[in-house]
Amino acid sequence: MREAELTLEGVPEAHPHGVGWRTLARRRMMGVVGAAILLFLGLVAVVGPYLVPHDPYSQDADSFVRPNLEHPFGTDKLGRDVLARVVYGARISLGIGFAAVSIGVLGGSLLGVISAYFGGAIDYVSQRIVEVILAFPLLVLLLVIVAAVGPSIQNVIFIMGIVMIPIMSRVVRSIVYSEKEQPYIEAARALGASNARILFIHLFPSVFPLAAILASLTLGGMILAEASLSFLGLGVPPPNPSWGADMSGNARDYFQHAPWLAIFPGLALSLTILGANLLAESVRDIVDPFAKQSGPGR
Amino acid sequence: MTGYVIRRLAALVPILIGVSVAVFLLVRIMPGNFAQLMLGPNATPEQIQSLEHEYGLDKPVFEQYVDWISGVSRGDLGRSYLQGRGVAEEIVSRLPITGQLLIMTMGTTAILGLAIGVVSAMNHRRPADNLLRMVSIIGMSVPTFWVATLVILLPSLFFSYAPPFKHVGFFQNPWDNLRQYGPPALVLGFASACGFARIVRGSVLGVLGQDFMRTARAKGLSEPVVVRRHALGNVMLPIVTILGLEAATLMGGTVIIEQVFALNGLGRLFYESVTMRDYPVIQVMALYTAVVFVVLFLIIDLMYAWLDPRVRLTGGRSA
Repeated sequence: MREAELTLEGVPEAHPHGVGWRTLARRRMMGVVGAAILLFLGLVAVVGPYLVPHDPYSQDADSFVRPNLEHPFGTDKLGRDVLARVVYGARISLGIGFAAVSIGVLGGSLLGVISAYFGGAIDYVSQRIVEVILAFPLLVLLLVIVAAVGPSIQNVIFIMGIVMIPIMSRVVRSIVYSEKEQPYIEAARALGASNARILFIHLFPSVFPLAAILASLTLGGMILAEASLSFLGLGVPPPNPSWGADMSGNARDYFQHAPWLAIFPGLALSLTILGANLLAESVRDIVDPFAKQSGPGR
Repeated sequence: MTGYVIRRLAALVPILIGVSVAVFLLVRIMPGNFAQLMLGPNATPEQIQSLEHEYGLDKPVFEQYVDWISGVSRGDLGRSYLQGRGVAEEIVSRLPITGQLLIMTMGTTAILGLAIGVVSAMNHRRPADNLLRMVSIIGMSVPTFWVATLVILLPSLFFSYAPPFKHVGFFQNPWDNLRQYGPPALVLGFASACGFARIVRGSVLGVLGQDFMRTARAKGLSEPVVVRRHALGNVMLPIVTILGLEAATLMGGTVIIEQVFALNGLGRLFYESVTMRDYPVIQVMALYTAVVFVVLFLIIDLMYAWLDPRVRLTGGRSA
């Protein structure tokens, strides 16, 4: 239940009268809106940088120019174009989110498959380690580790990915537990397949897609975590354009004078997380094994 | 049941040991040691060495760990490098601030979350439900630090309003105190209420589909009574435990919110200690949050084992 509570948020959906087409349409609707938002931001991240007329690092403009035609989102203290920074920020934010989720799902699937397949001592030890990691609130853990290894884009990706591994491994482990009793695994074993072959040719591919879908539910949380870390000055270091970092530290002293500095990065960030969460909401309704269970478990 | 409780308690021991080792090692691998930060860039190696010696930082790591953990188990939490006094003392001095913030936040979470969740469930798949679900997804998506920033910024822009600058205790001046604590508690409380409301909605929906609900309606009880007595009565226990969990996760939220609203509480203490490498404080606070987390999870699992005998027999959900 823990992984469900912490990240996947399995919520029992009672369907006393079955799922009607209107419900389905509404759920699809949410998913479609979420996917559209993410697609739009993805597009901004990929082609946006070629379209904005200014460079996010160049300090050519005057400080604190109000939003106008030349600088639709205004400029910051150093005379950098806020629109350019927000657009490049999409790259950083989405990039880090996707990279961290990928590391988490790959590592988590591997660990989960191995731990569930072999069981015994390997399972025991890895599960105890997982429990230790899960014992910390996410932000507290991230803060301490980032402070330990130093803030940089690579480190943030790595740390968030690694912190996700135990969460994902729990989910994968439970899937593998039922999967490894399937006849095809037995058949493979009867044919004399080695453990490695069963693990990587049979189990991993059959578990991975579901794991990847479940992991995608955490994208919004990962993007929020990066922004929060950057906001606290322990995420993406300056002068990189990060939505969280651009609203933190010294910039806060000028919000009164230049509110656009606070408004646009925050809007972009909220929209991104909203898109991810909307999509997750409808994906969860369809695939999340935890959501289908009801009863006191959650 | 007793056997299950003993098994679960025994399983707690390796986790707690692991947690304490993890906390200790994490803090030790931080680059830029405390002595260097404290003495500044012009410090001579001798000065750094003598300061490290003073705080026992030159001993082998294992010895440091044993010293620390035996101290902690005796109730001696060590001394803060930065604040120049005991960690326990420092925590106690900040506790009222975070305590008041958490109480007000949890109040907001409970009231808003229950209201949204129950109304949502009672109007299942009707416009009100859709609207409230949308509101709670938005509330969960918008980062608290941004909402908090706007909550400070907008009134000051439009009305030149600012809350009192200096910290005021509740009994000194309740009104000024609420002006300081109200906004952060509402911002944080609304965010966690949105997550909480989804769970309330789910649990209430689960109960509404049960047979005894139909029986209650059939014997002529009005809908509000049915919901209050029969539905809420049955979901209260899980809901209250989730609320407890919500409180535990708020530890992370207070770090950000106290930073934005300049409240000098535990969240701020943790953040300052992390950035300044104040090892003793980080260790104790990280250990404390982890222990609270683990124990809460255990209580919840035990509660479910007590409610559902199947969990006991199979050993339950791992962890």
